[in-house]
Amino acid sequence: MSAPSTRPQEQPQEQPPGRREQGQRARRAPGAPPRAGFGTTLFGFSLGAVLLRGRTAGLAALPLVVAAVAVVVLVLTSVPARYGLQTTLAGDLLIGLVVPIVALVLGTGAFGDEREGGTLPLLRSLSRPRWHVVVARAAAAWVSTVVVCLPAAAAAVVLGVSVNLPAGDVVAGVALATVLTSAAYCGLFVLLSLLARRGLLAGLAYVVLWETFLAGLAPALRGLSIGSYGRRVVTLATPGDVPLGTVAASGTLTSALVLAAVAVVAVVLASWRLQRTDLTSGGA
Amino acid sequence: MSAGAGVVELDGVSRWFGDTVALSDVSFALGAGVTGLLGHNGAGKSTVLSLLAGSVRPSQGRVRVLGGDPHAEPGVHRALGVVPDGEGTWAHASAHAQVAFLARQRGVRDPGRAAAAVLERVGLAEAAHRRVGGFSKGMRQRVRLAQALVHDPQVLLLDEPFNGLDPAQRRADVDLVAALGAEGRTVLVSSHVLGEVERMASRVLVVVNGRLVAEGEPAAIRDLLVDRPRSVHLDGPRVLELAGLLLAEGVVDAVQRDPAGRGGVLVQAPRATALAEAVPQLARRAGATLRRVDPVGEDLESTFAHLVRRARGAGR
Repeated sequence: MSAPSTRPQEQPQEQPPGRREQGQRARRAPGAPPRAGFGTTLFGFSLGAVLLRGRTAGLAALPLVVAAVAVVVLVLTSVPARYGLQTTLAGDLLIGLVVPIVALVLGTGAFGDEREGGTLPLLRSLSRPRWHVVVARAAAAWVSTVVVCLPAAAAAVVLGVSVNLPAGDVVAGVALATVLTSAAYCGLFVLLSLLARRGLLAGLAYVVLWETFLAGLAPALRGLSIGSYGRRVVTLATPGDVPLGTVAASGTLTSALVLAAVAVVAVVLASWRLQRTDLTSGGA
Repeated sequence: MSAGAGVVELDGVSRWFGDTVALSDVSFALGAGVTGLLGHNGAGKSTVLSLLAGSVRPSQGRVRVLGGDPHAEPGVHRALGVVPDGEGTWAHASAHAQVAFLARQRGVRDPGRAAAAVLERVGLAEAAHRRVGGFSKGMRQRVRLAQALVHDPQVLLLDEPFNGLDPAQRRADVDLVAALGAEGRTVLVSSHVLGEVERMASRVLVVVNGRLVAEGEPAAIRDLLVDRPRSVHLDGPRVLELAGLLLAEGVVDAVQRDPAGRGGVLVQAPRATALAEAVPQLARRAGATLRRVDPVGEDLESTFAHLVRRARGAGR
């Protein structure tokens, strides 16, 4: 490498800090470097960091398996037999398994991968409020989770419509439940990734032990289960036929609000955590 | 202290992690130019840099960079560039994408152009649009340097930035860091290699076991490190006669047969430089031909242990 002769981008440094982002668009000569686009925004870069990992492809197999199960059910079963199966697929497989597992991996990876890769100090070295970083990461994990879960959600919708349930209610229920349950889980797991070094393991223990087992043991515990609120929302089209042992006692609107509130509170706490935490050489 | 001192300040800073004291009552202020932060592994160099980078807070004392608190005030990072300890690159993104991302998030007006310019400066123009996951360790180190430089910061904190580089790359990057200091930036660069630090720094801080035990110009620090009590293994024909002369002249204060069984003798010299000057002349006088002159205990730990003893005995 030759000895440096010029300072990089002296022009930007000469701008008063408050005016840097507002500068007029300069004319760009042919062959000039590409303008920094969506990928350099906080959300765009976060989306790439969450989605462009090798594990995402493997993770996408889970919703595809659920979609394949739906196809088998459609082909092999009659409409009356299919009625109960569509509730199981939407409530137990989509909301009870696929969404929490996908959100767990992508949500804990939002900061866990940064800690592992030693890039967490870089995210703390941006000249903008740290809650921006948390919101962008949580939003990226959320959007990614919804996208990865789409095949399973679509399968739930097709199965619901195939048993002659009102299409509007089926779509609204599945879409709302997928979006809101993903938001709540992602918020929680992003927070967990900033609280614990082994956030993935802690989250897995939470999903397996609490969400799928302990929360179903007593009605009082269901109020502390994200999945139970999600199952209430996903069965919007079949309110009388849901398996009551796993569904929150509150109404659909209340359940939706609870899911949204969990997401917001978790992101607020995660923002506080990132602001306050010390990053030792091994991470947070 | 150089002009502009106080750009970077630690004032009575201590930091402990549980029962472990990582840093104990450290104070210094830095101005423009390159300062080397020297110490063995685990001495506290990374803790000093982490405190200044705002990655950790002090348990006691005050940290200031350009008058602000780097932990609590994100705005400080507009003028602060950091190469932190550890890997520190995003494998999924291209070098240009991640450097442009950091530029944009630190308020640079044209992040694409700034990223291209700084990647060219660190010698990565050709590989700028390749995924960093496929880079060699040396190339990733260059990316980290580009990440720290892209927003043209006034203050640079570099934690062992030459690790993983081959000798030619090390020389080039030492020159680059020296040039950054010559441009008027305040640069603090950690290393455990004094020779490397000497080539770029006008001032050196030595940290041992969490304490700042010495500070000054590189030549003065070298004298401190070199001119200390030392054991030397001598071997060759008539080495016993040479040892007798060294003892008689007071250059060494103890002679023993080499306890490691290699033959020859082990001499204890209170001042290493005096021994180095006396050996050739006295070897001629004794008719000795030396096959071995090996300093014993030349590891950095023992060198820094000497500095600790010195600091405890006479103050810094």
